[in-house]
Amino acid sequence: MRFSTLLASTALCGALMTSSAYAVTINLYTWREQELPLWQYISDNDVLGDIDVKAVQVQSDNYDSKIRIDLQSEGVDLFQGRAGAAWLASFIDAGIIKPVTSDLSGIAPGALDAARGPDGQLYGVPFAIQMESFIYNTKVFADNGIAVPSTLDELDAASEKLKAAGITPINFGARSGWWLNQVVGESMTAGMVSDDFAARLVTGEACFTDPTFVATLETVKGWQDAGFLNSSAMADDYGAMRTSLALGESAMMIDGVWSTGPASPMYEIDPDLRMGFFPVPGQNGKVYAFGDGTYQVNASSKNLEAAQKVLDFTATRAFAELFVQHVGELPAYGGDYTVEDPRLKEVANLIATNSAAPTPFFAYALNKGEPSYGTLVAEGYQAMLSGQISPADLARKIQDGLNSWGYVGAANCK
Amino acid sequence: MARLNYKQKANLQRIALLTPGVALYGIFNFAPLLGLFGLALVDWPGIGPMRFVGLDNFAKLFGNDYYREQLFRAFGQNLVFFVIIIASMLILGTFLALLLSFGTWGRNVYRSIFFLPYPLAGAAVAFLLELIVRTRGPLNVLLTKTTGLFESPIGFLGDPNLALATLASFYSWHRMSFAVILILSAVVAVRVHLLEAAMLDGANRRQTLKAVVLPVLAPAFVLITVIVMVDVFNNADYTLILMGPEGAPARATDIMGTFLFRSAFGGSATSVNVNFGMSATIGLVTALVILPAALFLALRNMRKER
Repeated sequence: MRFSTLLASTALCGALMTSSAYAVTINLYTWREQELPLWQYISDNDVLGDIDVKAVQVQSDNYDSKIRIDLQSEGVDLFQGRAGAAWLASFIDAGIIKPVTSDLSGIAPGALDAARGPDGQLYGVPFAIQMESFIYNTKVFADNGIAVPSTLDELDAASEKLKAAGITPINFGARSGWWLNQVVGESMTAGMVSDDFAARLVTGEACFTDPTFVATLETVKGWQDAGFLNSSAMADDYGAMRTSLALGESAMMIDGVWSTGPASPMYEIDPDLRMGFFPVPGQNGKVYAFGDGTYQVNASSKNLEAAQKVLDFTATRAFAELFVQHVGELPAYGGDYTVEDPRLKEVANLIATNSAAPTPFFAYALNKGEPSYGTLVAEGYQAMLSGQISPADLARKIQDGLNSWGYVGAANCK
Repeated sequence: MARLNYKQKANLQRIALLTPGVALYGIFNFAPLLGLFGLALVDWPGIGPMRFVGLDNFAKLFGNDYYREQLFRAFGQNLVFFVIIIASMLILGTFLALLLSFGTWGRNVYRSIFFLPYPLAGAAVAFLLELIVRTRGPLNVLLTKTTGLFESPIGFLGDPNLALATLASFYSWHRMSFAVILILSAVVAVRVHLLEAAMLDGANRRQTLKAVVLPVLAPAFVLITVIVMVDVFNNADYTLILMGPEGAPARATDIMGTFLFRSAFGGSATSVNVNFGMSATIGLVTALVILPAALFLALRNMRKER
């Protein structure tokens, strides 16, 4: 009896192994929960023939440490990299990733920066274009008779009106440092600083102590002083901010379009929630757009050939269409593809017609030394919003911090 | 084969008993510790080839303004963190242990309740307590809406002046039972006839505590202090989970553990200069600073017990 059970199970195992020998299953490390349905669909429907892709999700906070450990073995086939040369540099130096061989001709030029290494070469295939801007609860705006503001004065007037109605006009989740530098700092710059000036900030020809840049900080501080921000801005984190907007207790927040996608936890609070977008209505008045990251092949993967096939596929129109459908975000693909969701259409339109070109947060020149621009902005905003320093102090702090390691503008901006 | 005499047998027995402990400690604690010395001499982003840099990491940690500032700040705040924790553990812990040592009605139930948080994972405790102190959490509702003591919610974790103390209280809450159990076992060890003698001599409860019980508690206090010190200077689980590797807000909760983590894994998506060598250096410096204190306390404790 026992022997026959053993025999049967051995036979079963053997059968399973031979049948699966034809199909290759490769893994893809990601921090993006919203991609899981996409790869599930691709595997379930044999989009890539015999190649199955298993997406392994690692929590975003631990992603960088986990990927560094797991990449030391050959267990990782594909992984997602965060955008920009700063992140890519150590992986390039380690020989984990090589210049991309896939055909990137279809990718939108603006998204390519996500894949550009310190040496100017392209590594990996960019995967999504994200937009950051003001996001508002459309119901709260409608209930209070607020029109989308197109100037900072109109924004102030709208905020006064909302405040009088007992609604927090703008919610900040300032405990989350990553949100301050990656979202608030960049959106404020895109809305208030001209593209030309922002580009010169990155090249060191313009200084962060210039009134043009200081105005972005003063505006945020002004909102806080006028009581337009939640009183607990420093105690609330990113999650609390989104909760407040979803509950309708707050009207606006500065955030990325990813929060409005189908996988957003905000719909768990209010399934009927509708959100709209508008840029920080300063003089530049543009939204901030950037390539969110890249797909990368681990150069020492056991399944290099299959992994490369998957990578090539991510640069195609067919993938772009699947990406829109299953992830609910805009792909990095620049050509024509079908977008049915009206929300994504609006976003695609804003990105195509009204997005800022410079992305200081991802600029290698501002982030290759320590303290980096990203660190200085996150820490500085928190100090400013806690009332420890003024906007002018903060600008000085950013400039001095960058000067301390001799960044490109150190000689020009003493 | 000659028979082993008693002494040889005893020696063999000793070796057999010690080997597993020494081997486990050696493999999992001591060997990595030695490895740390090697790692401190390289520049390595955690991946790819290591670059030997000699003592550059030490020079950078103490010589580079940005690093020195981080080091001193993290260490200072770590000290404050430790003092808050150890003070609350010893004072509250002794109080609770003494309460439990009296024939209080239902003390076994209390003991179980006090011990409940201890087996929980640090991450679970961190999220649980964060739920309580967050702006729309029960504590703030109690302070603002129910009692009306405050007009707006208190940012326990967002106010740079409160965040570190709040995290320290999380730690104390989680590990309080550890202190209570150790102190309680010391209290129980107080010989009954000593207490009886003191009472016969006419000492009241307070005098008995002061002259008989507290001297017996000292070794437990030392043990708790050493264990907690080593733990809070090397780990930063609550801070990392709730405040991130940058020790938000504005580095007000940055302690040695977060500084070390940030140096190895980076604080954000744009962190370029990640260096495991620097982390190893920070770890070694921390060990060198707390080792004398830990050794002093531990040795003093051993001498007393003899």
